[in-house]
Amino acid sequence: MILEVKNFSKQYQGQPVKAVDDISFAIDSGEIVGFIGPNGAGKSTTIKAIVGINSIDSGEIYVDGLDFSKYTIEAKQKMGYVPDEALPFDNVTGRELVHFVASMYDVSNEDRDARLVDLAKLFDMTGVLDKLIKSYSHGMKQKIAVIAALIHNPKLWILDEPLTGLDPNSAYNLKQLMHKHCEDGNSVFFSSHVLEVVEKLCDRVILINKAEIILDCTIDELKKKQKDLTLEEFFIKVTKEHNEFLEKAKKDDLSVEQNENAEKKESEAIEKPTKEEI
Amino acid sequence: MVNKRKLNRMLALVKFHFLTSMQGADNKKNKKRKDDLLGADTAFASESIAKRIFKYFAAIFFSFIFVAVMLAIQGYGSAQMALAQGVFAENLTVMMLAMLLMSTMFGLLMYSNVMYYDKKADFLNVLPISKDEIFWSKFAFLYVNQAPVAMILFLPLAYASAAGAKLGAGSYFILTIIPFFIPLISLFVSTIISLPLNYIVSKVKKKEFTKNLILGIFSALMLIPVIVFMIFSGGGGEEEEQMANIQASMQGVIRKAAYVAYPIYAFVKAALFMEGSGMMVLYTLIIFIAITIITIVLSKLLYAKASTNLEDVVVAKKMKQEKKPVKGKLAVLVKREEKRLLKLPGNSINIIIGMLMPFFMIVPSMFSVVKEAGGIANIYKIAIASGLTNTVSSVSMGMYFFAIAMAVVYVNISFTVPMSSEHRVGIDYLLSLPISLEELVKAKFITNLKFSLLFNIPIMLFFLAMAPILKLAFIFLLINGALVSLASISIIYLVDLSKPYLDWTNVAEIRQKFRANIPLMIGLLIAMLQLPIALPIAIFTFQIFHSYAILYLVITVFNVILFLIPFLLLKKNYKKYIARLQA
Repeated sequence: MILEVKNFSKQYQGQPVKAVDDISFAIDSGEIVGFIGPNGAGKSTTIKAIVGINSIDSGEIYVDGLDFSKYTIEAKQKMGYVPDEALPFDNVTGRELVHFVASMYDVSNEDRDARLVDLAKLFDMTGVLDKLIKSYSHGMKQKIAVIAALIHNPKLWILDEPLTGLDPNSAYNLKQLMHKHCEDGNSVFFSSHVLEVVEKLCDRVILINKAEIILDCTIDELKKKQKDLTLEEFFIKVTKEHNEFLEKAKKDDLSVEQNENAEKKESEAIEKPTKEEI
Repeated sequence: MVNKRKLNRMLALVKFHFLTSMQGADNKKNKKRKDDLLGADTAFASESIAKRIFKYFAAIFFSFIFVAVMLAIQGYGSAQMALAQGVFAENLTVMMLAMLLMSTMFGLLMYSNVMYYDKKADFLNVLPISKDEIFWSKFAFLYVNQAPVAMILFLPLAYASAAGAKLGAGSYFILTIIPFFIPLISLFVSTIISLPLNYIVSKVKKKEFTKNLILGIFSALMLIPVIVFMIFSGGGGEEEEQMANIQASMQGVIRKAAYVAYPIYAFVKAALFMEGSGMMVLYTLIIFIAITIITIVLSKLLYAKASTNLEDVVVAKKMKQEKKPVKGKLAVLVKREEKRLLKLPGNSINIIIGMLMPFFMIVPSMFSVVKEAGGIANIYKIAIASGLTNTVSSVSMGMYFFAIAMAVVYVNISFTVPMSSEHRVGIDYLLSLPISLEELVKAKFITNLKFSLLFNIPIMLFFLAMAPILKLAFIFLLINGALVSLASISIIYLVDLSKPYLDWTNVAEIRQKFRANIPLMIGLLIAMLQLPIALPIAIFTFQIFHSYAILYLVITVFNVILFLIPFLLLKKNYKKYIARLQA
């Protein structure tokens, strides 16, 4: 297993509910796994915990067999992360950013130069590598973030909305790259809102809703469950059912609590001796 | 091999901190058309790293050189007398202590932002580097960043004092060592301040605002000893004998104050090859080891706990259902600008400094006047006895015009980039709304003027309290304060609108640009020009006519001219600048 998440929970300070509640999943070598869910479901929280931005309240994360909490640096060496927001480094050139990241991953000068040439060519960034990132369009900033994340050829790619802002050519090239990466025995774990891409690209899909994983299956299994529905319709149906289930559970808990309180009051009233008895 | 890799990583990290904090390098290769002053902002070829570093440190140099030169002149002037009185080391140490407080004050915001509120935090946390490595790289970056500031502030003062006291080459060498450990002391002070700061910020909702406010208060508190020093060292000013008497009486205070900056004191004494200085230097080394350990331990603890989430927590507020009249667009824009200005990083500190700066100028001369008169109560008695005429001394009258101009200039540092600070995204968004750029610029101008006049009230009230009967002077002081404000703000808008810098990542980088300092430099020039005009006229005309009428007239005409020049230029080119912004 390239990635194992076991009973992971996370609750932000001051928030009444957990952002992620006791989720578990695993990714095997050679898999492309899509991570989908509505806004605020817990996707980014999960991804940020895997890559080390957020702390882990409870649970364990293993990257290529390494316990993340104990072997953090070694685990990070095996991952490449593309965030969903643009990198805040407008005053450096694309080349300087990539070289910096390569230095952090101990990539040799020869390797980084060779890979940079290849990746820049693939994403049509060759002519702008020596320009400041602030002059890049949104798509170009996304591309340079992808290049920086892949410069050390990590085993596991963690991509948060990687296709946002990419032109069709670059999006196609990235998808092809993902395929090739997995064919070489590596893995990709990415979140996306574009369900058609997830459907076509992924081997497996994990659906998270309101801090819980409600679906974790292969694409073939998903298609059987979908029946006549499109993925979008299926997604909406499943999340709606889950929301209704949670509402009902909340009401049941409330009524159970109310019943318990009522019983308690009743038993107290019975036990309390009357004045006549005294 | 492992150590070499670690060292390379550390160097790469420190380099990255510098690269991300330096201003963007514009494309100089494209020839700009004569009227295309906005420049080619679609693609910027990068200048070399060496050039960027040079420009970065050049900006720091120009920001501090004025203060450094002023203090160096004072150091040179007081050196001989201090040496004769046997308090040269103490005098120089106290002056350097004032510089240390100033350099710490300026570095405090950067220290806090880099160490505990770094927007790069998420990015760095993903990389396979330990928190220790990140911490040390930031520490190294902050030290290297502070070092030039220390050099600029300390070396001119040290060398000028040494020249004034006619010291030998060996003394110069020892004095040169001092700026190298100043950054460490600054980091130590900044770390201590961060203890309560981080705790308070972690508990509140409006983190960014609270952080800036607390940093502003601490910065102001650091200025108090500097003001006290200026009072005691400036004294009466005019007469050598009077100054010598004041300084003689302050010797005890200065000797004690020097021990507060023990490390500096040790090296200054060593520069004079005084007896016992060797042991003092040894103690200093021990103190430095202790300071370094405390700084590192505390910084690491705070760094580990620091939260980088500075976004205001969205709280659902209940909207009051009041029947308020709909405000005009201009009023709404003015309100928006007020909130925006106060939220910009560093502005609250600059405003507080601007409010305190004129006290530097006024307090020394007022202090001696009060002392001469035998107290403030006596000043009032004299004024009443003379029939409520203006009894302010001619020197103070002249100094006031200079002080008010300086106050305006320093407060206006917060407003030097009114359009640029909006960012391209902000301007585009505002243009999408049903408001015109003219309305926006007008609202900004009004807000800047309002703040500029408002924040000069403390010095005016202070002056009024010290010099109670001013009559006509009060009106002319107000008028001239307003004229200098208008002149200063007109220059700011002329510079910023003619070539706005709208594509930045961090708002601090636009202040680092040389262009952003032009209004400050011209403003300082305007302020400095007040003195040679106001002071002699005040002294001579009062001697002859026993009236300041000529002073009021001359200085007002002068300031009207200074206001009209940039204002008319701005008015002439205004439409062109606005049209460019909308292009």
